[in-house]
Amino acid sequence: MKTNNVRAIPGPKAPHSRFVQFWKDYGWAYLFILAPVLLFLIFTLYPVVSAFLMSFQKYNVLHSKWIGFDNYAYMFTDNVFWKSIKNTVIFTVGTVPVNIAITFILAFFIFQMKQSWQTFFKASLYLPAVASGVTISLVWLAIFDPTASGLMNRVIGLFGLDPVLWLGQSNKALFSLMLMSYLGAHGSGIILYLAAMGGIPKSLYEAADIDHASGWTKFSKITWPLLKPTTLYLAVTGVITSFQVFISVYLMTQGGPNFATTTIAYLIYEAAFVFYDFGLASAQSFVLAGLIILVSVIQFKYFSSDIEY
Amino acid sequence: MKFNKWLTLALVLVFVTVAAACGKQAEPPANQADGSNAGQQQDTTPDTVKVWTYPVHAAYENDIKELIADFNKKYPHIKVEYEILSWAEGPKKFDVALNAGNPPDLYFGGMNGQYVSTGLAMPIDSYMTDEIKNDFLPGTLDTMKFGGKQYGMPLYQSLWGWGANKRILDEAGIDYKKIQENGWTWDEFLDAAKKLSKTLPNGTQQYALVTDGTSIDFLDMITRSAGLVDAIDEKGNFIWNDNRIVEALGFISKLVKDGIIPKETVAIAPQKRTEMFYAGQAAIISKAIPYYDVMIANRNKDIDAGKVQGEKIEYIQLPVPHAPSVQGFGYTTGGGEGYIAFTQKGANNEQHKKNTFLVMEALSGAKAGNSANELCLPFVRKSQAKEFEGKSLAKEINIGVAKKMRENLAPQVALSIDVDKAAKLKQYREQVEKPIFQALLAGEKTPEAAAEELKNKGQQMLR
Repeated sequence: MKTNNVRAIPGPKAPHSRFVQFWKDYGWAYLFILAPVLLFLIFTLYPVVSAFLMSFQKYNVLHSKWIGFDNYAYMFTDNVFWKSIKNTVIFTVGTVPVNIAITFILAFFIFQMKQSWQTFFKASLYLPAVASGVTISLVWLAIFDPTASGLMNRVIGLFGLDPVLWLGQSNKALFSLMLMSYLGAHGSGIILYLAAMGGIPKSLYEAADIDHASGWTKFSKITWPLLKPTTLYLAVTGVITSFQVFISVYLMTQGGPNFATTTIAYLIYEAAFVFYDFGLASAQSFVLAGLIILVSVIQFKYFSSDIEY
Repeated sequence: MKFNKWLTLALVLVFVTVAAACGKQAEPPANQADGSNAGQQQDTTPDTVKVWTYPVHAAYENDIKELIADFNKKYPHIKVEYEILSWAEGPKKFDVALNAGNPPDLYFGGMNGQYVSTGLAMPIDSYMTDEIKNDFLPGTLDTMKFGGKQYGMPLYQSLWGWGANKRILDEAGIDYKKIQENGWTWDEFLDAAKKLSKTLPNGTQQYALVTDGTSIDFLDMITRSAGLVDAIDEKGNFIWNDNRIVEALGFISKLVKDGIIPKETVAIAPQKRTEMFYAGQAAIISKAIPYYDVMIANRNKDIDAGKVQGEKIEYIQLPVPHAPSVQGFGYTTGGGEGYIAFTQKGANNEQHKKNTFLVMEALSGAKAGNSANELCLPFVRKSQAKEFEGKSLAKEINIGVAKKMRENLAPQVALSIDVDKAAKLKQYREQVEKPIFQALLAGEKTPEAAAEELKNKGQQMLR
């Protein structure tokens, strides 16, 4: 029994003791981040790596074949691909700045209103964001009815103009989709701008008033520079969204007429689900991702700035 | 220490579960029977056959329930799990499942070379008995073949024609019975169109014909009626390189220029064209299937019941007019639709394949002829014709022309060529035919320029 009281002389530490201690200290932390990490690995990283590999293959569910850069080579020699890039760029250039301007103007006027009216307009203008893109596209499809009885044709008919084939002519279809974007989806931008406008210290305007600054000077020297981070955010997210425009094209024009509305996102869909060419679709997806990254980096480089109040 | 052990164990379990979930799908357990005992002793190992189908006609779900119940009386061990997809979203769902290696065992649709190219379409030739083959009317089984192999069984043969409002035909003095009997030429149609086009008392225009311009269905019908079976022939040779394609495009262009079809046709969607036909704004609707007979009869009932407002229509099925150079009745565009068999990635269960075929035969047998009957189409099997003898839902005036249209069905070239050529043909249709057809309808290209572009690109892609 005495031997039980004799304490063993501590030997050399077990090789895993540091690991055990690590688990003891940080185990819970790792357990908590495990779920999002697993979700990221399974639903983001694995598909991205898989799609990247697929872009070098002639995909087949049973026996894919490694074809090197053939998908990329085909894509860069395909006229439809370049048309889709051109359409996507036109759509982006034609919608993002205009939409930011519309959003800013609306927010600027709403900001001058009483709180109750601000709430009313914020809610009203945010409503389209609640409706699904599919619903909005189908409503616009009816608005762009090509016959004289179509709503948009009736509106222009009031000014004595002939009915227009909004989605049926190569030179008008893409503009019609852009018009659709001008007349909706400003809600979230307005809310961001209003929040940013509310955050500009009043003392700056008071100081400007003391210096007898004009309205334009106050806008150009105070309001606009201090809203730059919000504008940058809207520009970056707007460009990303515009580069991925798909729902309206798919539901309203299917890329036609004569590829006038074929965007890169629609081309990817077509390659994958019309032609079952998943390898080519993956290659196109990586080019789209590259373009978005490139444009975003340029935007951050040239438009971002540190704002200090 | 105890906690850490549990933590490590939990992490390992999570990783193993994830790895298993991401791994290959387990193969279904092997059945006792092999292929050698076919026809000797029935394997009664429980099995499940998955079917994805569509609302083929308004009451199709009742049909399939009854067909499965009958099947289960004989094969109680085979469970048939069916799902009725929507026409709008079903094809996408199937495409994703197929390309992920996990299609249903049976899918309802038209035969397509892309299915075969995945390697998952299942040939059923070895299960087809002579009795089954002989039950099908000549040519009907071919609509579900690809590259000489049978992959499915048709439930019916779709027929794309033109459909007319009888009142307007009568007012214009058009002898539709003669057209139904003998067919008609483009020139005869153009003569009739002069009488059918007019300004209505309310100021709106009544067109002789309305079609949608958002798909190339109309181009398909007109080129077939010009004697061109497709852009390529059965041997895979490009054939849109002679005067026939110029004539076909010239005919389409004339329809727009002369106001026989609306000038907005390029932007008219299928639903809009139906609305215009129902509103009496067009005498004839293109891509009209004999089922319009039932649809319009139902609409007439709704008008009587006050549920719908509008003019009641008496429907007349017409064939598509053909080029003067084509003799006889002219060609009809259409093809078979029915159940196609598939296997899944990694699956190799012979008994399951046999069971899949048994279910296919049950869903395509004599009683399944109700689909053709409901759709006012001629039956594809003798047993179906017998089963529904004297119960035909089609009007006598229209079933006769439907039979003639089926007898003059243009061959489906895309089913007789190899997989690569079929893929190129599909690409040609989507990326060349469609934009050129739309440019022609929009007046952005002349028929000659359109034909030249079709020819040049066709010779590059389909040589």
